[in-house]
Order: sequence, then structure tokens, then C-alpha cells
Amino acid sequence: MPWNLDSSRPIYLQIIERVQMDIITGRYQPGDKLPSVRDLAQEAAVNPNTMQKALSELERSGLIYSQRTSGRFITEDKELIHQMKKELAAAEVSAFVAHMKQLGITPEEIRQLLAETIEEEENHE
Amino acid sequence: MLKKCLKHEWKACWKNMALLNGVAIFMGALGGFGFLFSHISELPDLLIVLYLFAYVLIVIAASVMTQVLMIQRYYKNLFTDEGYLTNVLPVSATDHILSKMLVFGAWSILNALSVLASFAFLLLPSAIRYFTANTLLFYNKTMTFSDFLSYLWAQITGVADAAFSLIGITNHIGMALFSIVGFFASLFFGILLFYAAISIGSLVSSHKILTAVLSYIGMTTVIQIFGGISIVRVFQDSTPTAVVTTSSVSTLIITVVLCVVLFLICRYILSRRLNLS
Amino acid sequence: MSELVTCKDLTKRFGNHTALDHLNLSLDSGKIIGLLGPNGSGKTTLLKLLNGLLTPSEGEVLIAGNHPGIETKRIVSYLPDKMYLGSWMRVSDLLTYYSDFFEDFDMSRANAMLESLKISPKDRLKTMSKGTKEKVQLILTMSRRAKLYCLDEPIAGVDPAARDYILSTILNNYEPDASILISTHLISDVENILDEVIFIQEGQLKLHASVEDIRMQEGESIDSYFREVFKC
Repeated sequence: MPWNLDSSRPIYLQIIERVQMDIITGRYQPGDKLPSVRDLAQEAAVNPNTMQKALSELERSGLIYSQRTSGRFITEDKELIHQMKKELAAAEVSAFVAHMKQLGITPEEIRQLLAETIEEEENHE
Repeated sequence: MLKKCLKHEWKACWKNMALLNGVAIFMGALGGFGFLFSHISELPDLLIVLYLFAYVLIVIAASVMTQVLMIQRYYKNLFTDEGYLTNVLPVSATDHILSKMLVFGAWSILNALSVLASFAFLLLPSAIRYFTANTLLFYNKTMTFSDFLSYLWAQITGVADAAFSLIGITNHIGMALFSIVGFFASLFFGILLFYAAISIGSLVSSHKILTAVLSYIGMTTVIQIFGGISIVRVFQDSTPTAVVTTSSVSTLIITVVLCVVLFLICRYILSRRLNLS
Repeated sequence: MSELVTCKDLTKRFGNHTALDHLNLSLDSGKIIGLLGPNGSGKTTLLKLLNGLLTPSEGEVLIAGNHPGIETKRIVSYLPDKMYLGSWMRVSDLLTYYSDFFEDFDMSRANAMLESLKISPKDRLKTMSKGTKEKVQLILTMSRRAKLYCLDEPIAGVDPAARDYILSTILNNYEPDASILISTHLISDVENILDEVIFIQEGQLKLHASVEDIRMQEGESIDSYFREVFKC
């Protein structure tokens, strides 16, 4: 099953995001071994060079590390994963706030809306 | 690579060729044994006439089709859609042309042999029956069948000896060599003339086949004219013996040279001027 | 990464029609390259020149430093847009044919692919549908361990499910030091597997760029960028 990729954005960025999400959601546990570039490229139905580039970027950020002979692994640095999670959340929130401002909603209203939505969700459960 | 080319060329052709020539041999055998086991005088004339008509037609058709299919093979395999594979093989133009020429030559010979075999099957059963039942009265001498055959052989070799001695070849090895070289030179010359015409036809962007036919006619005409001129020149020489010697030896040399030239034309076009549309 | 293909002022004329017009191009090894352009822009002509099926009218084309010939034919695997197989053949005949002539032909790879597409080696081409024949041709082409693959419209005639299989076949059999040149007009189907694209129009090079750069700079897919560039 090819990954659902949007051809209008650079593919390697989307692969990075996807791997980050897989780490956060726990699909990849710290210390897990990643499949080979070839297998990942095959799974995602993308060019192996693109996959290679995405993994190199992830390596540079420290989220994955490679061992010369045995392959690539997810970092065991839980602090780093937590940090990334916070960064992603912060990015989501600032995008959300910017959107709301576009709609002409005041910061006070945003807070109120958020509080209401969260309460509703909790009641549903 | 030539070996592999020959193998696949043979594989691609042999079924059709074997079928065609097999039918010709079968038709001969059918008639031969039919006549053997029945009395010709008792068969209706119409049946015999119809059979002979069909027989001649089939033998001619088998020979013509052998040539046509082998010519078509060269064109189709190299210059049509099939050429998209043939011409991307890591095989030299020389090997392509040689393998096709040799298989074509082999089937020309096999076709001649199967026509002979077909005649033999048609005639021999009755002939053997006749000769075993009767002795032959020939030049007022009675002969058995084997006497007749050795008489025939002596006549043929006698004529051959006389002919070859005219051009100064007296030993049998020389005769055999001259005949073999001459035979293959004219066989391959005929084939290469078709190949060269097809190759020249491939150079134009439209009317490839028409161009091939016209260049075939053109080349044969030119060769005939030059051949004619050289023969006339030879006749200006003195003795009749000299005429025969020069004309047959020079014909052989010219044929060999023409084979080389035609081969080089084919090779040049295939390796340097290929344009598959 | 080294230069695999070089075209210098490559020109091909058919009568008074110019199919390729002084094309200058250089392709590296290790890339999957899309050859894109409207119908009649010269894509097929370029691939045929690379395979020595056409003779250039002007200029030259070099593959690993050689003009098209026996040396280049050993390392280039070509899938034409034509049915080139004699219909009297069985699949097994073709396998022998390929392994006899191409030293880089990998028989086990071919058999594995045939099996996964449920094509029996005993099948005759005569009885096959057009789509199946195209698959057989693709399998033969991709079963060679070539340095350059030239695929002319490899997915045009097959259904979408087979398309996915073909693309994964291409990815699967792609050696890191080989290059694949794919001509197609079905851009959205292939663009995710490409490294680079070449746009040609009326025989001339319009663009040669990395696909990720185009996405980054134009903010759109190669498919929509193509539509923009070649808008009528």
C-alpha cells in the first residue's frame, strides 16, 4: 500500500513528517530498527534516492541513527522524541491560531472556543 | 555470437520451411506409391492429370515460398517492429547478415534436395518395378538397372571431365573445388542481392518495398550489362578454349567480388544507416 | 555519480520534419528520469537514437563514452512502444533468447516476475492479450541488470492495478548505479518515483530539473507544472 503522498509538496519532507508521526504515535519504538532504504522506498512507492535523502535529514536531526553494518535505528533518546513532539504541537497550535486570526476571532474567543470543544470531547467519552 | 545467431535463426525458420518442403516430398511419395500399387492404365485419366497438375503446382510453390519466406524473414526481422529487438541485441551487423544468409542458403539447398527427393519418390517406385521386371534394351544392348546407372554415371563424368579440361582443370580435386566455390558463390550472390535491395529500400522514409524492388531490378540490370560487356571482350580473344577459360574463371571471380561488395553494402546500412520508422 | 548519457547537438530529421533539434543533454547514473513532452515532441525519437535504431542527422549521442553500438547495447535495456515479439514464440523461447544474447539477463528474476503476474512460460504470445504482452516485454526488459533502461510508455496500455505493479517492478529491480529513462504522458502515475524530469517540446529541451526542486520552487506537482508549461 503506497503512502498517501501529496505530489505538490516535496516528497522527502512528507516522508520526514510521516516517520516523525510514526515515532510519536509509537508505531516505531525507541531503538527499533528501520527497514532498508530499498524496502521503505518500495513500501512508499517512491524513488530510493528520495527516501535516502529523507532518512539522511532525519539522521541529521538525531531522530534516527545509523550503525555502519546493521542499519538504521530509532533514537533511544526519549528526551529528543519528547522535544520533537512539543515542537510539532507548537507548530500545529501556531498554525491554528494564525487561522483563527484570519477568521477574525479574538484571542479571548479562541480560548473560550477551545475550552468548550475540549469539554464537549470529554463529555462524549 | 555467430553461433547463437545461427541457432535462433534456424529456430525461427525451420518449422515453416520443414512444413513446406515436407508437403512437396509427401506429394511425390503419394503419387509414386499410388502408381506403384495401382495399374496406371486402370486409373481415370482425369485423376492422373489433376494429380500431376497439383503436384507440379505444389513443388513450384514450395520452392517459390522457400525463397519468399526467407527474403521476408530478412526484411521483417531487421526492418520492421521485430527489428526493435533484433537491432538492440549486442550482435554485430556482420553476424546478423551472415547468420541469415547461411540459414537461407541451407534452406535453398534443402529445398533443392527435397524437390529431388520428391521426384525420386514419384518416379523411382515404378522405375524400380519396371527395371526389376524387365531388362533394358539400350543401344541394342540389354542392361540391368544397375548397368544403366553406371552407364549414366560414366556419361556424366565424361562430360564433366571434358568441360573442365577446357578450362585447364584436369584433376578431380580441382574440379570439385571449382564446382563447390562456384556453387556457393552463386548461391550467396543470389541471396545477398535480395538483402542489399531490402537494405537500400530501408534507407527511404516511404515506399520501402517499392524502392527495394526497383533497386533489385536496377542492380540485376547493371550486373547483366557489365557481365555482357566482359563476355564480349572475352570473345575478342583468339581460341574457343581461351574464351571458355576466361569467361568461366572471370565469372567466378566477379561473382565472389560482387558477393563481398553486396555484403559490405548490407553491413554498412545495418550498422551505420539504420532508421526504423 | 558519473555521466552516463551525453547528447551533443543531437538532431534528427525525417524528410523536412525535424523531430529532434540540436538537443544537448547530460544524464547521470543512479537516477530515475522522466522524459515528458506532448505527443510528437521527440521522446520516442530520442529513445530510438539512444538504442541505435535511428542514425542522427547531426550531432551525436554517447552512452558511457561510446556511440550506440555493440558496447552500448550490452548495457542498455530498451522497452519500445511497439510489439516487437514474434507471435509464434512461447514465453520460454523468449527467456532463452534473452539469456542467450544478453549476458546481464537474470533468469530467476524474470521467472519470479512471470510467476507473480501468473504468466506461464508455456504460454504462447499469439494467445495473449495486448496488456499481457506488454507485461511480458516489460519483464524481459527489467530482468536485465543493465546500466541504462529506456522505457517508452511502459504503463500506457495496462490497467491501473497493473500500473502499480509495473512501477513497483521498476523500483524493485533498479540498481543504485543504473539509470532509468521513462517516457510517458501519465505523469501523475509516475512522478513520485522520479528524481529528475526532462521536458521536451518540438525536439528541443525545455527543462531538465530535479522533481523535488520543482515542487519546492513552484509549490505544485510535476503533473500540474507540466500542464502549466505546455498550456495550449
